[in-house]
Amino acid sequence: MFGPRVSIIFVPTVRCNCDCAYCFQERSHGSISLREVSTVFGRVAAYLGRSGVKNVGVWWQGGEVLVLSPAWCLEAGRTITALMRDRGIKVKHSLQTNLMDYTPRWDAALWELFGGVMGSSLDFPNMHRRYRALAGDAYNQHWAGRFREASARGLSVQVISVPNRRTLEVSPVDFYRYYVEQLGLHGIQVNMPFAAGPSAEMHDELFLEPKRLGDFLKGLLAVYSFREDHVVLEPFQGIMDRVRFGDAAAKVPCFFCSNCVNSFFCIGPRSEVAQCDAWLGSYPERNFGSLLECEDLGKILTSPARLDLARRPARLIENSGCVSCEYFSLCGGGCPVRAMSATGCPDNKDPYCEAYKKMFAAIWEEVRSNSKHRRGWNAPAPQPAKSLEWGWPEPGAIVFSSFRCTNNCIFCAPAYDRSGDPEDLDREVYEFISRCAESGVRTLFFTGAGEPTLNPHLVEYVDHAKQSGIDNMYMFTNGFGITESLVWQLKNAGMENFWVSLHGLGETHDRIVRRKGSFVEAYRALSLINSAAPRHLNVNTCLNALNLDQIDRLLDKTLDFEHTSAHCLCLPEWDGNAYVNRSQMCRLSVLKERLSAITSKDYPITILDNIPHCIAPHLPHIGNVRNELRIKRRDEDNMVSNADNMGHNVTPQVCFDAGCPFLETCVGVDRRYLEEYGDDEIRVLIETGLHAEYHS
Amino acid sequence: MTNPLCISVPAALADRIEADAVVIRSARCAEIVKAFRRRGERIQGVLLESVDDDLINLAELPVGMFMTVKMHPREAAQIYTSSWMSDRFNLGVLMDIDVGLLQGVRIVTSAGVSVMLNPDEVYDTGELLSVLHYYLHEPHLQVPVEFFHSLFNAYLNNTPVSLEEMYPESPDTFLYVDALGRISGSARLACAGEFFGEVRDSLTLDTTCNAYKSLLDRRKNIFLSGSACASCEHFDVCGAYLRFVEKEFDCDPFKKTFEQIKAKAREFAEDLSSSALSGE
Repeated sequence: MFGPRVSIIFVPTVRCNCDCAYCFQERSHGSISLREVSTVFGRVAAYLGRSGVKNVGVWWQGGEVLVLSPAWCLEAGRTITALMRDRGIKVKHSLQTNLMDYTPRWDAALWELFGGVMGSSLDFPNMHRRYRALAGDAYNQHWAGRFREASARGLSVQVISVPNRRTLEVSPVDFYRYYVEQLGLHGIQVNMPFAAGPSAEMHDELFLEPKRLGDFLKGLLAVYSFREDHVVLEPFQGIMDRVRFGDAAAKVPCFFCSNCVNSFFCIGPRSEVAQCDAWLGSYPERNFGSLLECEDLGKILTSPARLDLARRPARLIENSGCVSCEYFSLCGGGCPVRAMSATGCPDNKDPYCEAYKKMFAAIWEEVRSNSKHRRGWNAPAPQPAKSLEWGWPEPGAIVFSSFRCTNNCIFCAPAYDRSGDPEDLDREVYEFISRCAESGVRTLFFTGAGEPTLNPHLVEYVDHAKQSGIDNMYMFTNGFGITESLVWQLKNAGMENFWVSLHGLGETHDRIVRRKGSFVEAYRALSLINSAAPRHLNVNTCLNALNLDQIDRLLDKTLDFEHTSAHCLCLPEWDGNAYVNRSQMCRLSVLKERLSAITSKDYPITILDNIPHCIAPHLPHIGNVRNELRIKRRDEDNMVSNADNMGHNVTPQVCFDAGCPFLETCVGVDRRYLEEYGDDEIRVLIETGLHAEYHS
Repeated sequence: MTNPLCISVPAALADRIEADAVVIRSARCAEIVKAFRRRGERIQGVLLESVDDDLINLAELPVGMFMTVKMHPREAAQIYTSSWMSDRFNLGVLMDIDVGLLQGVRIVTSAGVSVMLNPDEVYDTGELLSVLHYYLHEPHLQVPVEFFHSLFNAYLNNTPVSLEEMYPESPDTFLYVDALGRISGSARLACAGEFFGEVRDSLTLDTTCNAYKSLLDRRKNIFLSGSACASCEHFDVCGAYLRFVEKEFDCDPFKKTFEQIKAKAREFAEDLSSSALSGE
C-alpha cells in the first residue's frame, strides 16, 4: 500500500546526549541490536520487495544517533542496504543528529552512509535545548563549533528550527540573519512546536499563539523572498514549488502531506512500528505492532490502529470545514500528532491552522506578484537524464607533475618502487609542456606516477599550458590537497576536466589506498569540484577483490553528483603493487558475475577500461585504443602507443580459436594474469558468455 | 488516424478475450487482482467500479498501472484514505453527476487526482455549473476536470474535440462487454439493451445490425433522422451524444457549460495575445 517510493523513519536508539525540555521521547537506554536490525529490515525488505517498492529513504533519528558508534552505524546501514538490494530496492540513508557529539571519527560513516549530509536542530533564541551543562546561547555556541568543524571537513549540515515564545519576539530579519549570515547555513526548515510525551505538561509553554506565529512566518517569508542568497528555507520553498509546479515537483514537509500514513512509517529501537518518531515517543499505545513479534510487515500495516489513522483525512473532511478552505490542497488538514497533542484527538485539524493560512496566503501572493518567482510559472525544464561523456580517448601528452603520492594503493604500479620527485622536476615540466605545445599537442593529462596536488606549482603549469595554446586539460587526483580555493584556481587557469579516484566506500577505500581518512578526502574533493561545475567530472575506480561487492553502491554515489559525466571501472595492470598483491586483485569470472548486475539503464555514465569485452558485453568499453601518446618519464620524452594497454596485454589464443568477433576492439588480457591463471578461465568465459550471445 | 481498439471487460471474463488492449473492470478488488495474475500482460488499465471493497488488495497490481475509480461524490474522501493509490498508479476518478458534485470534485482534485465527470450516471445536474466555475477559477487546482479541460483546450487551440472522443463508444475504437459476455458500445448502451455481438470463442460482432451501424456513422444518422440535435449550435461538440440513449435527456445544463467554456477560452486567448503584444 505504497507507491514506488517509501520513507522509513528509523529510530535505532532513544538514548540521547541532550536533555531538551520539549522532547517528546521518553529517555531510556533502549537501542536496537545489529541482529535485530537484520531481522527487522529483512522483514521490511521482504514486504516492500513484494509490493513493488523500488526506492526507500531511511531517515535515521533518535534519541541521538551519534551516541552509537560509527562502526555500529556502518554495519547497520550496510546491512539495511544489502537486505534491500537483495530485493531490488535502492536505499538512501539520511541522518538527523543534534551534532553536539560530532567528531571527525564519524566522517567515514557520515560520508559512506549519508553522503556527507546531516540534518540537525537548532533554535533561535534557544529556550529548550540542553546539552549537559549547556543551555541557552551556550548550547548554540557549542553547536556552532561542531558545525564549523564538520563544514571544514566538507560535510553539509541543514537544520530544523522550532520557534518558541522568544523567537516570536525577535524580528524575522534577525532570525534569518542568525542562521544564514552568522552561522552560514544554506538549508533551514521551520517546524512548529507541540507538547507530547514527557513534555505534554508544557503545552501552555510550548504552544504558540497561531496568529502571532502566522505573522512571524509571513515576515520571515518576506525576508526569504527578498534575498537572493541560494538559501533554501522550508516549508516556504516546498509550498512555492507545489503552487507553481504541482505535487510531483515539490518536497513539502510531512505535516503538509495529503495523508502521511500512506507515505512513511517508523521503526523504533524495540522493533515497534509506528507512524513517525513523534507518535512513537508520544503515544506508544498507538503503535501498529512489532516486527519482532510479527514477521509480515503487511499485517502490521493493516493493523486497526494504522487503518484508523489512515482514515483521519476522511473524517477531517466530514467533520471540519477544511474541505471548503481554499488551501486544503496545500495542507490536507496538517499534522495529526500536533492535533492529538493539542486536542486529544488526531481527527481534528492542525492547531496551527490559522498560522498556516496566513503563510499560505502570503506565499500565494508572493508567487503571483514576485517577478523573480513568476518566471517559474513555466514548467521547469526536465532534468536531462545523465549520459556518458567520455573525455579521454583523443591523443595528447601525459605530464608527470608529481612522483610522490600520499597513498600506497594495493594495485598501484609506480608505488612499488617510489623514489620521489627528481630535483629539476619543475624545469622538466615547463619544458615538456612547451615542447608539447610546439609540436601541436592540444590535450594534456596531469597524471602518472603520483598525486598532482602535491606539486605546489600545479596551477602555474596549467596556466603555462593554457598560455601556450593547449586548451584541453585533464587531471587525476586522489583528492588530497583539493580545496575549494585550489579547484577554482585550477579552473580559472584552464583546467576543465577532473578525474577523482574513488575505489570504495568508506573504510573499503581506505583499505585499498592504505591510508585512513582518504575516502573522506576523495569524496569531499568530488563535492568541491562538482560545485565548480567543470566540463567533465569523472570518477575512476580500480576494481579489485575488496570493492567488488559495492560497485553498484559506488556507482549510485557518483550519479548523485550533478556534474559527473563518466564513472570508469578499470582493471589495473599487473605490475608493482598489483602484482605483489595479486591475491587481492579480481578474478575475471567473479568480475563477470558482478558486472552482470550493472546496466547502462541504471548506471548511464559507467564505462569499462582494460576489461576484456566478454566480461561485460552489455556495457560500454573504452576498448583497445591505439593512440600515440607523448610521455615524459624520468629521462625520456617518448611517443608511446596505447595499443594493448601500452603493451601490458595480449589476446589469448583461445579467443582466436573461438573466432571471437571482437578481437580488434577488445583490450585483451593482462599477460601476467594469464601466466598466473592460464587461459582455461577465458575459454569458459567465452563459451558461457560472449560466444553464446554472439551465436544466438 | 484510427485509434487502436480497446475493450472494456468484466474482470471475471478477462480470460475469454483475445485482444491487445483490454481494460478490466469490477467492483471487487480480488477479482481484478486475480484477472491480472492470469492475463496481466494484456491489461492496459483497470476500472474499479466501487470503493466499497478493501482497496488495499489492489496493492498487488504493478506500479504505474492506469487505474480509474468510479465513485459517487459522497465517496470522494476515500481518495485521501487511500492516497497511496495516486503514488502507485496513474489514477483518475470517474465521478457520477449528482448532489455533492462540487464537494466531491474539490476533495479529489485537492488530493492531486484528476476527475472525469461521468455522463453515464447523471442524477442531478444542479452543481454542474458550480464545478465548472471551480475548474475555471480555483487558483489551487492543478489537475484536470474532464470534460471541461479537454474542451477548454480545444477551444483555446482551435482544435476539434467532441464528447464522442472523450467518452468513446464507436465500435471501431471501443467495445464494451457486459457481465453476460454481450458486446455493446458502452455501459449506457448496454444498459439500454443495445448489443451487437457476444463473446463466444472469440469476439463475434454483428456488423449488419442497427445497433452497430448507428454507432459507426452516428453524426450522419442523426442528420438523416431529422433530429433537432442536428440543428443545435453545440452539435460539433456533443454530436448528439447526450441524447443518443435517452431522447428526452435535459441537456441544457451541459449546453451552458459548453457556452461558458467557449467564452472563457476566447477571453483567455485574447488575454494571451494582448500580453504577448505588450511583451509581458
